[in-house]
Amino acid sequence: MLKKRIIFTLHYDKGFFNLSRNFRLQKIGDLNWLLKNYNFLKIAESIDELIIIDVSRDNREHDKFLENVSEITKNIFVPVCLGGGIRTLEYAKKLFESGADKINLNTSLFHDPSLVDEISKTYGAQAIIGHIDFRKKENDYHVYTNNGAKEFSKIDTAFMEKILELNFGELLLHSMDKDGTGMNFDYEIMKFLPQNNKKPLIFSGGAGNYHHLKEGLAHKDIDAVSTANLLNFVGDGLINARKVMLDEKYPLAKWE
Amino acid sequence: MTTSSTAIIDYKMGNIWSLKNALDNLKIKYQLVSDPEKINDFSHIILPGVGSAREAYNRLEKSGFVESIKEAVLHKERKILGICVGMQLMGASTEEDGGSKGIGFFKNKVVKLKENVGIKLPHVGFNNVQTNESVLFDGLKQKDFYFVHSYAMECTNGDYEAGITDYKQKFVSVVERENIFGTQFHPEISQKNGLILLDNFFKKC
Repeated sequence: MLKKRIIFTLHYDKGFFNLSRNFRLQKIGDLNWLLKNYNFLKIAESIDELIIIDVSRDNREHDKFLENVSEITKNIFVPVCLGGGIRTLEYAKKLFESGADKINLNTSLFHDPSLVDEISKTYGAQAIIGHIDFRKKENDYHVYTNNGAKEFSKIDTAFMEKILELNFGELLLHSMDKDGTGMNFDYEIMKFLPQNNKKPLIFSGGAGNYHHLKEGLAHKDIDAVSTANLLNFVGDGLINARKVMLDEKYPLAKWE
Repeated sequence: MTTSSTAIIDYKMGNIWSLKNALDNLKIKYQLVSDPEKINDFSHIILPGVGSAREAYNRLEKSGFVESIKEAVLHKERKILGICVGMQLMGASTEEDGGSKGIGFFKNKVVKLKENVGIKLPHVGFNNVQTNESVLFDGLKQKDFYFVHSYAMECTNGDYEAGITDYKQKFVSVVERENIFGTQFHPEISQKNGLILLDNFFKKC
């Protein structure tokens, strides 16, 4: 039976790993902090997948980002997804050649959908995660791009159907309202997903404790949950959460 | 071939970064090989692959690797491990992307996973492998591995079908016959389980 996944997401900005709260960034530590003080390699033994996003708001330094990625991933043996500022096939190619098993497309998904086709032609749809940042405004839901800075469209089922037709492998839904708050995922967004959705779904934004992860994993339409909070699962937090969930027979992978 | 050494076939089909990381971690020496004549210099060969199986086969054939792999494996007893599309290429044919033949080490066809049983595609994440006797799985109690694919080898009950995986339909996830091995999953990104399996390929196969 296919297992569900716990994904850890790192937010990188010019040499630092950040806590994001409603998309406002707070520097927590650099690469050395992440590997030495935070002991990230140990935590990485309890996750199913790693996403690293360059969330720099301006002038992304691609080479420096990739140097950081390379130091993090050389001792981690799970799939790695890289994202942030992918506007061209050339940069996507560079990411794949620098350790990405998958890439995460957000802004380009809406502003340059032809890029999805270009990348999938070479690397396959399975190598692309389509990432939607959404926020509730009064009673409606809206999609935002460019690190949450630009409103793109109101969300309804027709909008979701259209996006899901693009040639990417998995859909990631990230709540900007819940981002970094630890106040649980926003399940209401699910009502816009078409009944016949065939793409694996990653749920993100708001996981504050392992009860939230459990609730997400127990949902029949959710295939993976992501947490990006560097402080909620500090130390053995995530490692123990996984142990508890395995004891309670949650469908997670078991490793030696 | 004097000592144990590994060739990773470099035919520009997909990501070998993670594979290199895993081999570095296991202290397995390897070289990327893009010249088909050279693979006989190695005791072990890894055939990776991501993306379209048809495109992968075309590139292998054009570059002369199909013939050199057959020669090395069938006549010179080199050990080979195909990973993901690399395993699919060992079948008789694939129906992906308009269809193509395979290297043909196994008579199995590679077909698209059936969606009408209520599954999402691609099949992505860790899934279990049912195995009986298998050198690759020696010492492994946990058999969850990371998959990401939409096509897979059909089961034909061959005794070389060393691993079967269930995604609301059964497919061949491991092949193992004498010196020929293949995994539909990616051992290089399957945590400790995958590292142990890779180590078995180099040390026990």
